[in-house]
Amino acid sequence: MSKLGVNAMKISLRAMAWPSLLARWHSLDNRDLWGLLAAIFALYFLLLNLLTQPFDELLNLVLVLGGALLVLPGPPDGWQPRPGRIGRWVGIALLMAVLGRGQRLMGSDFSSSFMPLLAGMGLVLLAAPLGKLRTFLPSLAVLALLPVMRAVDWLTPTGPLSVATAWLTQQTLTLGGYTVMRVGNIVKLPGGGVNVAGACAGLSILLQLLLVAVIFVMAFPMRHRWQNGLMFLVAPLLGMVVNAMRISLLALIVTSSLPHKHWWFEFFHEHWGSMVFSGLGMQLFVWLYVYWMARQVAALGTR
Amino acid sequence: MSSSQPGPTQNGKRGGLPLRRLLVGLTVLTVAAAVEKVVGLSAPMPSAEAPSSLSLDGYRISALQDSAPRRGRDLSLGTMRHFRLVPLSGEPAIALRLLPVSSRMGRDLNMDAIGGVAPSLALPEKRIVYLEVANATGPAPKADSMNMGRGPGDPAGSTTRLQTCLTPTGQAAVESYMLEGEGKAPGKLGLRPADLLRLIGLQQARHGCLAVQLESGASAGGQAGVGSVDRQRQLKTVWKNLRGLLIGSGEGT
Repeated sequence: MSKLGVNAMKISLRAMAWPSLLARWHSLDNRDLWGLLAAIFALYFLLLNLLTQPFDELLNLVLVLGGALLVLPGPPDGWQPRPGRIGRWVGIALLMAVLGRGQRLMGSDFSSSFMPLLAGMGLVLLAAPLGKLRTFLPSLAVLALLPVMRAVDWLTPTGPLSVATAWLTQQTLTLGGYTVMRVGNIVKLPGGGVNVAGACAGLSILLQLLLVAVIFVMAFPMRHRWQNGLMFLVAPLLGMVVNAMRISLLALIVTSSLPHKHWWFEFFHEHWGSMVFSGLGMQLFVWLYVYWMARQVAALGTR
Repeated sequence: MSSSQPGPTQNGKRGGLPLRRLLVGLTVLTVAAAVEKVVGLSAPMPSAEAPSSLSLDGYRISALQDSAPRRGRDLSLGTMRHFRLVPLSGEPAIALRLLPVSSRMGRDLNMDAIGGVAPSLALPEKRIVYLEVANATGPAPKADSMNMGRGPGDPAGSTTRLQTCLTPTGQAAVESYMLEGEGKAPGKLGLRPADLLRLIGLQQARHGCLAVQLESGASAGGQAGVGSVDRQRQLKTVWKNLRGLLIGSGEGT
């Protein structure tokens, strides 16, 4: 290691020493502490979801927290939190209630999707009096998307979507040169097949992309409303296409002679593997959005 | 955000307690809650115990020693009941183990994971077999999935154990996606009271099943000989007889 590197490490270690940390803690003003509290609550929710909720809920939470931050305008210089007399106690009560519920949460639970919104409201009430909360409304609206998504996911019947996904899977595999038969939501290849049902219908991927679309439209709105509307249509369609690719891969794994094919099937069927396809869908959507936006900006530049 | 705010030195003392103290207190409390969550997390105990006595036509059943319940991080185990089933037909005796299991997340609810926390249910060598359920209701044929394999002390290649996990709804399976019971009806839009309670957060989803293991001794030949085939057939027959008896036979709630 170079002398410079050693010196940098010594300086870092000195900065991390207890007296230095305490000194910095004392120099934090209310604004820093409010930001720290918000960040720690965000980390608490990530930890809670990681420990108790399904993986797709964790991804939704990451998207919503990121989105809430994205649509929050930067505070003016010298801004300090200044809660109202009653709002302060309501805010504290909300945060305490969220912590209490979080500590009792053991497994998958719908109420977990309300917690970021309630904590967001608590934090906002600690930041400003009731009459001056307008600035925070877009962030709260993004946080409210989490329970809305969960309710839509829970209430939407997956039957028709399963059949549509099976049809798309059949088309994808046929395009790839395979001989495919489909009966309802069952896709058959020579040597095996898959039954598209439940989570395999891809409702969660579809909703995740819709969530990304809402956040993008709020944070970086297009010039015309119809363009925003079009992105709301493109997002779920892209989700269906990506999910059909996942189901095609599962069907090919089932009929393959791949060693450990059961493991590969489980990987892409159950948890992290399906997240790969969610990520792919989001990547494609963001690319499409940015591409279209760049074209609009370029068109404006040439006028 | 409003810029007409007091300076940092004013410290927001409206409402009695200084804001700084409140923010520091909440920060410390949240960190403590996070640490407590990581350290103290555990799966709920199973809501029902396995039956302590069984009676089945054609068998003489005696109860052996139970094992104590155990709380775990991902899976919690109820009391493991242990029985000896002696067929009146003169066939060899079979050992039956019943273990109620409750999972925190549902994704951990599978026979491999159960074998990981309950060594007497571990199968070093296994294959999944499907057995059609007789008298199943509904339009589609219904099948139980189960592991068949050997115990750690049995000769390689032999089949001495049959395992599956039975949910309260009568589904017998070994994989988590069959057991976690999170699925909603595919074509229905409507709420049952339990769904509504879950939707507003008053009821948490419960993931649990009754792990069942039937075990015969290894046949004299050890490997897959005629004796081994007979044992496999016997295990499947006993399972078919036991299935109806075990559904909804849990004790307590």
